[in-house]
Amino acid sequence: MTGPASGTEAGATAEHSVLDVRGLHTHFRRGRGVIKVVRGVSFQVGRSGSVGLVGESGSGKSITALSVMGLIEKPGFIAEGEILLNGRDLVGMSQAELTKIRGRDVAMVFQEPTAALNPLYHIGSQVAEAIRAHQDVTQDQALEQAQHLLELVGITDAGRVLRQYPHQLSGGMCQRATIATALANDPGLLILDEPTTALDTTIQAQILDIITDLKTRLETAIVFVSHDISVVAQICGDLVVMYGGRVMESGRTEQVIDSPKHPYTQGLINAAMSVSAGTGRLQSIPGEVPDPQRMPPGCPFQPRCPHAMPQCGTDPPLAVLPDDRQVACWLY
Amino acid sequence: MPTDRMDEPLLAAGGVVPLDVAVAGTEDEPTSSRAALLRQGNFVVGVILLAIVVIPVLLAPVVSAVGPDVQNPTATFLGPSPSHLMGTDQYGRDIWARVVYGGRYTIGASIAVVILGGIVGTVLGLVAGYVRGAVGFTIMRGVDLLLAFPGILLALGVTAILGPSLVNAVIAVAIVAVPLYARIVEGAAREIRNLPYVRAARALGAGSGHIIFRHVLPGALPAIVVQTTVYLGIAALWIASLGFLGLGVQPPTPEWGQMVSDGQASLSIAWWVAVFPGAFLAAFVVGVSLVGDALRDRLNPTAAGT
Repeated sequence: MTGPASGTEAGATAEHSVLDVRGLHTHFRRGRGVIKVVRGVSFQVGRSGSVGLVGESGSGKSITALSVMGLIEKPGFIAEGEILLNGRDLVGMSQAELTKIRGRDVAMVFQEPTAALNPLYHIGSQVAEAIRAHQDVTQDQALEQAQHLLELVGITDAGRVLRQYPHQLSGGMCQRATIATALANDPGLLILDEPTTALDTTIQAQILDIITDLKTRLETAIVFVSHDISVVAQICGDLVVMYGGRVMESGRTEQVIDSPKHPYTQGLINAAMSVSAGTGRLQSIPGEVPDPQRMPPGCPFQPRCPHAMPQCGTDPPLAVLPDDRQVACWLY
Repeated sequence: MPTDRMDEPLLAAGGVVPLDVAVAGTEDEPTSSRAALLRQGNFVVGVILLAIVVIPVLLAPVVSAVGPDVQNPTATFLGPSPSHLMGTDQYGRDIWARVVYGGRYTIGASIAVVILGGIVGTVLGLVAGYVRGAVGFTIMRGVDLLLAFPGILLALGVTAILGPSLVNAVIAVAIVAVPLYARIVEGAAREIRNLPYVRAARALGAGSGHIIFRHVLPGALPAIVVQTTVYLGIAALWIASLGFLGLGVQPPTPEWGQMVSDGQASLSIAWWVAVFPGAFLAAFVVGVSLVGDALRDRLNPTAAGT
């Protein structure tokens, strides 16, 4: 059911972690005001570890991922916090420095595989482009490497695919190709932003298998962003459940799935279980994700929470449970 | 449940591009586009007009027995005849020779205009659309300033300052072309820079220069090509207008606009001196416009006013 265990990441300290996000706040200017999309998110990814960022649309998980890549553009900005990649803080780094790091130390795979490839170039040319962004090799050498990369992501006729255009390939093949480009320079950290959401269920399973396989073979650390907790649970050793730009709960995947503590996590898991059980009524969490411009004070989940109580109007502290799990809820 | 997207139909379609896969901002060229172009009547008419005008101009030494400047005092103001297809002017020069040689200047100068104006305008548009911010704002307000002048006034002003010559006429008309290119390219660049594949390239460590030349410029190319075909005719008209006003090519070098001006005085006794160069100019401008329109419809089906 769950992915292979890969070290105890919950206990990963700053020295051992590939990525250490501390108190990240990412805001967007709008008119005279500021929309606070990410509000104090912290998590670590250990060496060859895997962390899933889960939450509904609008929970800030994708913006967190883009912040780590240094891809937040105006009117967005990182207001506060540290993003330590291999111990170096990315916040405040110049674009020139970030350009050197992107693709080499951290790479990203996006949601829409066909749109993430330029329709004007062959697959081979695009993988080679990623290789040559950081390696001083000739185009022929890069193409040869590109073929190996495509084989690595399970494309059997890589030689042919190299010479094809994105529109000639299926979404699943395109996603394999974008994963190959992301792996071009053997980054220590791979961020996958909803990599399977746009794909068929069967293709989705294949891509998840490839990611699991790569994770163990290449020892690449992974941040997997998804709204689907059942998908994330298959891949990741750790889970970070986000809501309203905050971390609601984080811990080892088995712990979080088996005994979710936060009412929001419980709601997410009940909803996922009711889908896979296939009988009876589908469980949903009543209410809607709050508009980041009208975020309630205190716990953002409070308006939808079955356990809401008066002190929920003030920010709940992040409680550390005996099993190293962290929960932001007044119940604990 | 994740929505499935296009796996099946694309696999089934093999090498053929289904129309509905067109990615926003980049015109997917259907393989049948050449056939579709030919089905458009105005495209065919445009190509025929251009062929009638351009082929003799390209083959000027072949199709004309005499040079454009050869005078013959015994054969002034002869009407069109087999020996002088378009007659002769007041110096006995062969109009056909002057028209086919003169086309080199008019057409050559308009091509120079779209190359010069196109390159400068494209660079400005790319920078403004990609960088945005203060730099982009400054560039685009400068462009707006140029656009605010009526084009012909601007061109007249520039040639008046630089002095009358073909090179200066080209520079003047190119300056008018710059804001038109800059606007179109800026719009395309602004759109393309936000496409997922550009963001993906950035996430892989591509620098801005690399992204502009590898991803943004090729994506903007259809818009640039269309703008060029549309503006080429206008440029020819303006080069000829400046020639007509004596601000372009200086006599005795033949150039269509200047020839029309020359023949104007003798229009009542020898209509052919002004009419034939004028007709060639008109055919060239109309031909280029028709081809340009057809190309625009083809490359950019969403364009308004088609």
